[in-house]
Formats: sequence, structure tokens, C-alpha cells
Amino acid sequence: MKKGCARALVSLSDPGALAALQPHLETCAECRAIVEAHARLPEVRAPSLDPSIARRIREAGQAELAATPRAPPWWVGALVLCALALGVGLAGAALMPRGNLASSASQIGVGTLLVGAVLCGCWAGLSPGRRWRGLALGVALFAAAAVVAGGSGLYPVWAGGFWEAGFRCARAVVLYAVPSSVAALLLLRSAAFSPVRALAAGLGTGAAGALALHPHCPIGQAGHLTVFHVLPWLAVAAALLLIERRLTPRTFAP
Amino acid sequence: MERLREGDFRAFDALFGRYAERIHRFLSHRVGDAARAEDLTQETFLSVIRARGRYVAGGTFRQWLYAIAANAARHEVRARRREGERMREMATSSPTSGQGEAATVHERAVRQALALLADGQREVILLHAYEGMTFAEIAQVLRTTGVAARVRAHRAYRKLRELLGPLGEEQ
Repeated sequence: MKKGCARALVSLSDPGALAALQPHLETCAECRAIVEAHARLPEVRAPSLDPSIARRIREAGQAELAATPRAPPWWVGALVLCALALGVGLAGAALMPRGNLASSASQIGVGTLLVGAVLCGCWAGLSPGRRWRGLALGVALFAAAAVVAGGSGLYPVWAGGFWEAGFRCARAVVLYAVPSSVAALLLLRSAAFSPVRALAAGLGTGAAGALALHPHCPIGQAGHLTVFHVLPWLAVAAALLLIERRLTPRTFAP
Repeated sequence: MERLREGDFRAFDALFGRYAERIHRFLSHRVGDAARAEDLTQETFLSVIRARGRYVAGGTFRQWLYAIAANAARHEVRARRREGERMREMATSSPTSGQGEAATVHERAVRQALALLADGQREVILLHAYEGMTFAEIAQVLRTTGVAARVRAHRAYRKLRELLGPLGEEQ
């Protein structure tokens, strides 16, 4: 868009400013078309709200306010989700037998990134602001790469073969992600559907499953880690996104 | 808004009195159906109450309110598409969008042209031309950047002018 066109667009509602742009309008057919289109819009009369309907809405609002006189801030729900996802992930990591034979430094590094992915994802999923979303997606991506690159053990393939052993891992990721994913779906209904927010929340709750599994799995093969640790985590995020899309939200707030 | 957060009825009344008509007007233009616009106006104000804990202090209430209304309208449009009902057909064939028979030829032409715009383009034009918002404010409502809002408006007005030519001649 040319500078003069941008100024014409900004000046549409200001006849004085538009008059000053007359030399540009005379030479720019596109801007003339825009000014003409804008000038036609007041021809549509504004419908007014029926007083009886307005009264009904006002009463419904007052009844809603009386039913919930106190509104907890959004971050209370975010804290609950973070605590639940992290609690389930850490409980899984502590309760399942330890099989990961990678170095302690590697395990702690990957574990820390997974904890970061859980917290950032759950927080960004419920936050009304946008600044957390990029961070949540970035940390999840980084943690997923670390899970694969860091390796989780020394055995190239566990007894039972690639698919059988892998299925157990994938099931563990999904099972440990379920409680916080259900909670996320309930909490996400407090706002309008946002694909990025739902995806962030799904990556956070899915990371809880990956966190639970990480100290347990002795298979260090990159293919196994990608297909049975990272993909189920992404599948949890995708499922949460698709389910959330189908649900009717309780509110349409951003 | 701070008082409404504490559950103050009078704060809700004041906000409702100030914005109800404007929100209803925006939603009527947006969904093209006066009856649905009334329901969505109610949904919008109930959302304000239910989600008041999501309002970030320091933000502008007007932009937050219009963001809620825009989300409610988008949800409605999506739901109708799922049901197979075409918004455009309704807006162009039904006179329920406001003044019905009393609508002038020119008014019908503009209404039809608006209905033929893509959803995102119609949203920007309604906020800019009818609600008098700047592009920075529109960007806040639609969760986009000021430049993106301006580019979308530029395309929308150009498309509207194209549509108004043939529609005007048909009348």
C-alpha cells in the first residue's frame, strides 16, 4: 500500500483530512473507490435494541452476577492446571521403575526442559495475553528435540521388538496426560476457542506424559523416541485442539 | 470494570446502558439477523460477567467487549455453516436484518454488498465505519496487528466498491 493510500484509508472518517488529500485522490483510482465505498455505508440504518429485550438481557446479567458475585482471576485456573499436570508428570516419573540409563546430567537437562514445557504450555493455554504462546511453543519444540537427541537409555531395542515396546511407551504418555488434558478442556471453556491457546495447553498436558515416561524408558533409539515418546505427546495436543474446537465455550472472552 | 469484578450491580448497569445499543448494532450487521443479534447481545454481556476474571487491568473495556462480541458472532457463523445454512443467502434474501420492507433500494444494495464480503473483511468494515474505531483499536479487538487490520480494510473497501457497482445497477 502506497503512503498516500494509507493516509487516505486512515482519513476516511475525517472530511477535513480527506479534503487535504484531494490531489492524491485525483490521481489514484483505487483510493477514490475506497472513499466512494465508505461514503455509501451510512445508507444502512442501524437497527435498535427493543426495550423489552434490553430489559431481559439486563435482568439475565443481574441474575448471573448475583449467582457469582466473586470472579477468581484467570491465573487461578492456570495455576491449578500447572500444578495438576506437573504433579501427575512428576508422580509418574517417581512411581514407575527407573530404566533410563543415560547420564544424570542428560536426564536432568531433558527433565528440566519437559517441566518447562508443562508449565509454559499450561500457563499459555489459559492466559488471555499472547506473549506466553510463542514461548510455550518454542519450549515444547526444544524439549521434544532434547528428548530425541538426549536419548533415554543404552538399549537400542527393548525385548518385544520395536512396536510392542513402543506401544507401552505411547500408552504411558497418553495415560499420564489424560487427567490434566481433561482439566484443560474444562478450563478452556472459560474463553472463546483459540487454536493457538488450545494447542499450547495440549502441548503442556502432553509434556506431562513425556515427563512421566522419561526416567522409565531404557530404549535410546532415536526412532523409538520420536515415534513413541514425541508423537503421542503431539497427538495429545492435536486431540485436545480438535475436541476443544467442537465444544461450546461458556464465554466468548478472548 | 474494577467494580464489576467485585460484583457491583450498578457497574454492570452502567456498562450495559453505555454499550448495549452499539453491541446490538454491530452484531446485527455482523450476522444479518436481528433476532440472532439480540441473543448474541445477551451472550456477549453474560460473557462479560462470567469472564470478568479474564479482563486484564489496564486494558480498554470497549475493545475487550467488542472482542467478545466478535468471537460470539464468529462462533454463530461457524455453527450455521456446520448446519449448512448460508449466511450470505440469508442476508441477501431475508428482510429481517433490520427495517425489512422499509429499506431503501440503496440500503439493500449496501446490505447485500456487505453480506457478500468475507467474514474477516466485513468485521473490519463494521468496526471501522460503524463503530468509529481506529485501526490500532481494531487490531486489539481482532487480535492482529495495526498493519494487518489496515491491509484487510483496504481490500475490504475495494471489494465493497466493486460489489456496489453491479448491485447498484441491478436495483
